[in-house]
Amino acid sequence: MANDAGPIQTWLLTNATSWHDIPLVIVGNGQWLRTARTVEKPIPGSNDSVTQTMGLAAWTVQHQVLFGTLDDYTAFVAAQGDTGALIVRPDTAAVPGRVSVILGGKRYDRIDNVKLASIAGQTYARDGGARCQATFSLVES
Amino acid sequence: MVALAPHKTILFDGAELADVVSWTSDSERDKPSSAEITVAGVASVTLGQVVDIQVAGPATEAERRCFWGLVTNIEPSWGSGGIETVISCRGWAWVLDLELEDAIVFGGGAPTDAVVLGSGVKHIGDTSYTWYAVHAADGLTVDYLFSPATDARFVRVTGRLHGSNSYDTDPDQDIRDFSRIDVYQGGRKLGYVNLPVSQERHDDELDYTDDANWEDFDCLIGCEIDGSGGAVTLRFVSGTKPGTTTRDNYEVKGVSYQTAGQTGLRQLCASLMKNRGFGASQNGVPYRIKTIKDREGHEIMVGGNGLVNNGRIALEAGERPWSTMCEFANLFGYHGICGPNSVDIQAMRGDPESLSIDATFLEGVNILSIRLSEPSDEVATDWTVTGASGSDENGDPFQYESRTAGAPNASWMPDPPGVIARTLTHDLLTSDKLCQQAREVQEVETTVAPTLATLEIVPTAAIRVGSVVQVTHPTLGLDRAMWVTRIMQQWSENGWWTTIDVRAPNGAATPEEDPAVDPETPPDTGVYHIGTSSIAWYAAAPGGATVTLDWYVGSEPYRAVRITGRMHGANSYPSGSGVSTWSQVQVWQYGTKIAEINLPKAPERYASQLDYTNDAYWSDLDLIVAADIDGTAAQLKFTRGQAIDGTNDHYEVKSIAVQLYSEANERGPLATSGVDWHAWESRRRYRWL
Repeated sequence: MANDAGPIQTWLLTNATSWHDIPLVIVGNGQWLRTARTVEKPIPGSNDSVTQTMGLAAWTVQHQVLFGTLDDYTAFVAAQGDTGALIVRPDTAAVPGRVSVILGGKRYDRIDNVKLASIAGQTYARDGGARCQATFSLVES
Repeated sequence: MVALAPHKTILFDGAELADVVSWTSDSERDKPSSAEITVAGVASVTLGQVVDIQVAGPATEAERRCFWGLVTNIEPSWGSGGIETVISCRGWAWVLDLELEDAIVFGGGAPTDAVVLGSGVKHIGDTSYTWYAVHAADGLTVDYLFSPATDARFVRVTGRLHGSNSYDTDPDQDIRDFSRIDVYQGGRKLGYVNLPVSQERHDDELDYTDDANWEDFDCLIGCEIDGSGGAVTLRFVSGTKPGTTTRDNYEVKGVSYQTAGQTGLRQLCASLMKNRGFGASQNGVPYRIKTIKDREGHEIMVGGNGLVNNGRIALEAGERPWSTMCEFANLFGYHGICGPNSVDIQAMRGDPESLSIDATFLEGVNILSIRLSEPSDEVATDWTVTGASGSDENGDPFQYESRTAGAPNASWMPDPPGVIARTLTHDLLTSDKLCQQAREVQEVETTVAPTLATLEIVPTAAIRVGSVVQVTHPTLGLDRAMWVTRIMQQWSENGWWTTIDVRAPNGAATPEEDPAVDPETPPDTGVYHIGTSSIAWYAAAPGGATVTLDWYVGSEPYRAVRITGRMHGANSYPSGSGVSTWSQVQVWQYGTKIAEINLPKAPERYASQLDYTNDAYWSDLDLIVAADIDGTAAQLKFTRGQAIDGTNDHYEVKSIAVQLYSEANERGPLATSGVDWHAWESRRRYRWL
């Protein structure tokens, strides 16, 4: 893992992927999901039940995220609960509402109103970088 | 599987409130309903705002109102759990539960408006006088007749006179027989009053064509008038000079009478509603008061007993009108209902088996849990109902009363059984008959233990307190019609759930009819598409931005209109945009809009292009709106609303029917002052000289 950190800083010099203006790299293939909030109660005396769909949960995705510096990661940790724009490479999983942007001559997908819901599984690299599993959710405007 | 996709609309002064986390509502008979709404963040609401909660279960079902009232408390909070605001609300009956600022006196038994019996001059006596207005005497007695409308204990006679109990010579006032007014009914003398002494200076021969030489008289006669006993005669009698056969000569004119008028309990309650600001021309909240009847179907009439509070019904300052009305109604098995669309008083007594069923709850289908009881402590075998007390015209104490005779014993009671005695006392009961009427109702409710149940049901807003529901639960041996006495709604992330209390007295049924409610007009057979664009999957072609239906009202004034039918798609937009202008139904008369009410939201999933020739995709429409309508033609106008993003609404209605609620014969309360009415003591002085 520690070997991942070195190239990240280098990679980020020529790539504009970020969340809330914090440079980061998304690895893996996390999928945006939206689940129904469902409540169920059995009806006694029958094999039936009442299910209620109380709406839909927000679009949510879990990404493995890499940071080139500890400062960036610290800023990321402090920004939990904040909402900002997520800028990802176009081959990253899609979500409704994304828009294409050109930054530094490269094409990216920009997703506005993305909240950093939580982070987990952090790992620090010897060269000062870090990685973690971040859960993002889409805030409906 | 019963699959629901509950949706709701919560409005504050007509504007939708977002970020609602949860809400509850609680409606119970004889109490103002309440609701509590929890909102994420600090809610921008203010005290006194009008709150309207509407809810539906199926995704396309039109929402129904389950609470309507006012904001009475706002509690924002901030802590580790975040920021939220709890908004407490009370139903409209809460307004009626505020203490009275001043006493209100109702005209139950107080004098009716004065009725002129004769405006011409009558000369009572046996001698012609040229200076009298009528020279020749009309006789030693002159009769005036009237027909009493109700039982009464007094008649008040007023007018102008001159010369009564006054003789041309001899100033002696020790008169053998006063000139007087006798009261007769059915050939029996009920009472009398001596006319005042009116010195007229015979020697001066005053001109009695000049009204200035006359004076007023005002006599109150205590007497037992039978409302069904035929005409009452007021006989003006010429007196006799003492020690002689000389008769008194005097003249009267402008003779008027007033006697007791009873008030229907329904009229009293309706008047109180009006006095407290309810109705179309005031706060716009409809009220529906059923005719309050005894078990035999006779309307309950109150007041009119001169021995009790001068025949009037008074609410003192500090009393709570809602509580008082419910107390009155409860005496006869009626209850106050702070409903989602109106404030009502209706019967909830006896076995409702013969009444129409508003909803059915079945074991294994839509009952999630049930708890049943038959409490023996609600049983009474011996009722004593006591009414008002006081002293009669002789000064003897009295109290009105009715007791159970030959009380039946419940089968479960020991032998010998003894009695389970209960008493009920209320000053509104101003006769033995009223006590009996109240007792007979109480006996229906308590002769046998009632069946009570609390049910958790598949959620619905289609019933209200006062509805009759069929509860069928074979496992518990229950299958009967029951009154809904309480409805509790809960909405949160854990779902929308409804709990109801139901009750069925095991006494006799007391079916009721309500002449105050006009028969429903037959449903209109048309299907109407409100909108201007053709929509292929709609049932009808567009009828325009406004669709007008005419109907003939009838002959008397009405206070509220109930509009029922079927609908789909109102206030629902394919863009998902919020409402800017609500689609409405309006009531028009004489070219003027006299009432309006927003149609409920009826989501219709435009993308699904549901086939609206199929009634299964339609939902019920049931609205009540306060409106002062008089007896002539009127129109219903269905209007098209608009979304915030400018999209026009499209919706359809069909099977539209109208039901009108009358407040005929409504009498307002008497003024608290300005009614110069004699206390009983002074009345007794008139009668018992």
